[in-house]
Amino acid sequence: MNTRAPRDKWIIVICGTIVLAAYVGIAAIGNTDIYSLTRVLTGKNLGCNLQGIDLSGIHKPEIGLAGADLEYAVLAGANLRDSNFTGAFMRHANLSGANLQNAVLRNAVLNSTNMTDVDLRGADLRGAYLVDADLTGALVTPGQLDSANTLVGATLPDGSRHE
Amino acid sequence: MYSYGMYPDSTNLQELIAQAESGETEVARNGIRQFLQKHPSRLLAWKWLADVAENTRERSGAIRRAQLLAPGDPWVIEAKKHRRPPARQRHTPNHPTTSSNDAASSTTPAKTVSETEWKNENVYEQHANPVYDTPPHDSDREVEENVAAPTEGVHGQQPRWAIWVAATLGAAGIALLATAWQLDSF
Repeated sequence: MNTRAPRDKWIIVICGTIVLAAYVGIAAIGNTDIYSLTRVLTGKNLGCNLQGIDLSGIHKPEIGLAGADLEYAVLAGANLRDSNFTGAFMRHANLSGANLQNAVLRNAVLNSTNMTDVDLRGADLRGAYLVDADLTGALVTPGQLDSANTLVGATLPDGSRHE
Repeated sequence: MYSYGMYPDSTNLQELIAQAESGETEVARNGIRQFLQKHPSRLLAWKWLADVAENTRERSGAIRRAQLLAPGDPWVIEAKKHRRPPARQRHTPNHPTTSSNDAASSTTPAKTVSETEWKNENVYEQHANPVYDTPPHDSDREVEENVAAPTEGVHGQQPRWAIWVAATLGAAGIALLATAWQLDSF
């Protein structure tokens, strides 16, 4: 039944491993995750649809919302530290005063979000889109902001506007 | 709702763009709508639909879809600041008519409309037709029409070809490993 020689099998395994390694390498170089990859390729969000959901004041650390559609969501004052928002689509969300310490916002779309006074200490903003976001009073380091994909039009923590 | 009978196989986006550029807005709009039903991940088509949109709702939805595909795209950044559809009759020689990849193009439609009234709105219905995958607008009032200046300097955009290569390689790798697994190589 299985007529393939063991050597052929191992060649296939090695080829597969090489291809997977190449994929991981390209993904790492492009700062890509599966959620943003899906979004960019299909125009759809991989995670759950939570558009406009009101989670203001919620205390839910370490929640997993990677790839979620959180457009217009209200997360004001929420305690979401250590949460995972990798690749989430959070355009126009209200995150004012939220605790996002150590949260992973990698490749998240935070365009036009209200992030005033948000606590982003230790948060991972690599590849995040912060176009026109309002970060007035946010607790975030310049290094974190530098790691974001774009800050065009964003209001920085000191009230200045990023061009 | 809309008659697509006039466009039996509207797959040539460049022709539709040419129609839009020559002022045949309605024909181009319907053609692009049909095109997007078949190719919902074409950024360029969403941009052009936004440019020839029938109303602000359709335009906002198109901009939203464009932002899903390219959140940091300069055109998207400018487009979302203005909400009025552009003038129906015009010729814009700077529009891209040859790009099929659409990645991070800053030379797409220039006149744009804002979507500021989206703020504070709640969850909106999801429609099967991607063209109507948009939040509702509370009004269609007139606002000043703005001409968006080309934006430059958006950095760190992921090259689209690399994404496709990565996705293809990943799928191929998984397929190969699955094959190896079935052959009891492990």
